[in-house]
Amino acid sequence: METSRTSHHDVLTGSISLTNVSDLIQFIGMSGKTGELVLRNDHTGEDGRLYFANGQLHCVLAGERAGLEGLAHIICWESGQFFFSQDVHSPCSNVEMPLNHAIMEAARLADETGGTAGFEESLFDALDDDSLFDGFCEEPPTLKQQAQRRATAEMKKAEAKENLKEVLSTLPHGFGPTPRLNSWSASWRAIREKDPSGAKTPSPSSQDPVVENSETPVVPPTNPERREEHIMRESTEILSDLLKVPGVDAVVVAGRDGFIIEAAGSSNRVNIDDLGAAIANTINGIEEMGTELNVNKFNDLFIEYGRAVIMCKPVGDAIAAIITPDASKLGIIRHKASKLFDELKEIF
Amino acid sequence: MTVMRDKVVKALVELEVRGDENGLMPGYNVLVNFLPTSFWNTFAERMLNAAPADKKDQVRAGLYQCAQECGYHTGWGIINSDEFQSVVMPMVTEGAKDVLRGAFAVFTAWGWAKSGVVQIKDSERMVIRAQDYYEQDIKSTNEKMGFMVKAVSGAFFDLAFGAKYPDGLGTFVCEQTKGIEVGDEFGEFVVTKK
Repeated sequence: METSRTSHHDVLTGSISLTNVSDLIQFIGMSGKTGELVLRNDHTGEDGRLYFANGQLHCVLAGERAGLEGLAHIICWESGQFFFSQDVHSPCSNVEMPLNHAIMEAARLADETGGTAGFEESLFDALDDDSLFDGFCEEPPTLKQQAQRRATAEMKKAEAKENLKEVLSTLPHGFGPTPRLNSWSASWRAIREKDPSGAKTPSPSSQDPVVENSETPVVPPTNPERREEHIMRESTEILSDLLKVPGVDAVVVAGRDGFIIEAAGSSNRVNIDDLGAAIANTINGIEEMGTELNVNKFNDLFIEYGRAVIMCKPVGDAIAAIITPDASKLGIIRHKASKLFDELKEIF
Repeated sequence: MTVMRDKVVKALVELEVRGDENGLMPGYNVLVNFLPTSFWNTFAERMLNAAPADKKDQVRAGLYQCAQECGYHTGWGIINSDEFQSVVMPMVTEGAKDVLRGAFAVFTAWGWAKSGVVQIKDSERMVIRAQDYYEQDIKSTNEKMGFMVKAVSGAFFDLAFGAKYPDGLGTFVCEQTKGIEVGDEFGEFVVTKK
């Protein structure tokens, strides 16, 4: 990185916290550039290097990781710096797929390997993002100052980790980041059912979360049986969260028979009322194909049209479909929607 | 392959139905009458408003029971009709679950309510959501008034998972958890074991 900086090859620099890595990579890809993109994670001091040739991603190096594995590691970084140097050629070739496909694959890998680490990382990112210092000093920080900041950041991170562990250890079973599915709803439900006196409120089911008295900790079940009044509220909220993902125009949940169970947002590209029947028919065909080929049930479906991209995913007995104007944000949508789809699976 | 609502609706639209001398239209083994929905709404509304506070529950139970019996026998008629056997049954691959999907597609096609299955747990629970059900227009009672969809949902589940017809009536009970008439975006009906 030093070489490229001192040789005045830098044409683009900035803070990762102002954008996100996948958007940055897609931007360089769409610009058709050839060069080296160096990303520096301020927390860990790690560097990631991505080499482009005419907008195609050819090589990713991130410490001991390389190729898609390296990209999956880098794509989750939320703060740090980036430097793009033009006309630097790739030392090797370890990414052998189109850029958008590589981002989606990396997002998928990141999902599979992320686990609770993502929760903790994002918390720490918020605590020590260097961009918080921007505008408070006249001179750009020297290397020594940067090293000091990194050391301070590491200390804060370690301290926060300890504090988090302490807080988590005081929470009753079922709270905190470990049970990722429905932990929120379980917590919410347990809190809602606890009245100010701490006594148990009347409940239609004797198997509901139990609050015996104020001394007994609240113990929500790990897989609570949902009561009907929670279904709409929660699914509506999850659909609203899906709409907040950049690039998502509309979200539809349809039954296997084509019945539109719920929809949020709007799209001027696709008639949502017609979408239910179309999705159900398509999924039926695809599932029949899967059965014929003996390749198990379908997990994902992306259909790219000239004016819209539709992404479908099974959620329990139903199918969720996301409508987005084009494929440019598909990677980030897939990445950010993954956990929300998991929550929807619990409902339908 | 599962039951496709659009195919069921299209098939029903293609049926030639004509009212007989009594104003009843036969189709799917059902005789559909021409009485306006406002008649039935007024009937339910006046019954409930006229009852003293301590008798209202009995009126509600009566309205539910009427619709439940009607739904149970009508549902039996629908699923055993020639039309259902030739249009819906070839698409049935998931047993009772698909039969229920088909029954609600017919229910929608007749214009009773734009309704469909959200969730089914065999012999345990079913969640139905509905829009455009005629009882959504009853606002004066300030309570959930979807007796017809509610009781018919319970009756359909009786047919699917209760004892053999005609002994299964009332095996399951349905509760209305949301209603357009009380300000919700849709009606929601949850069937569970009695």
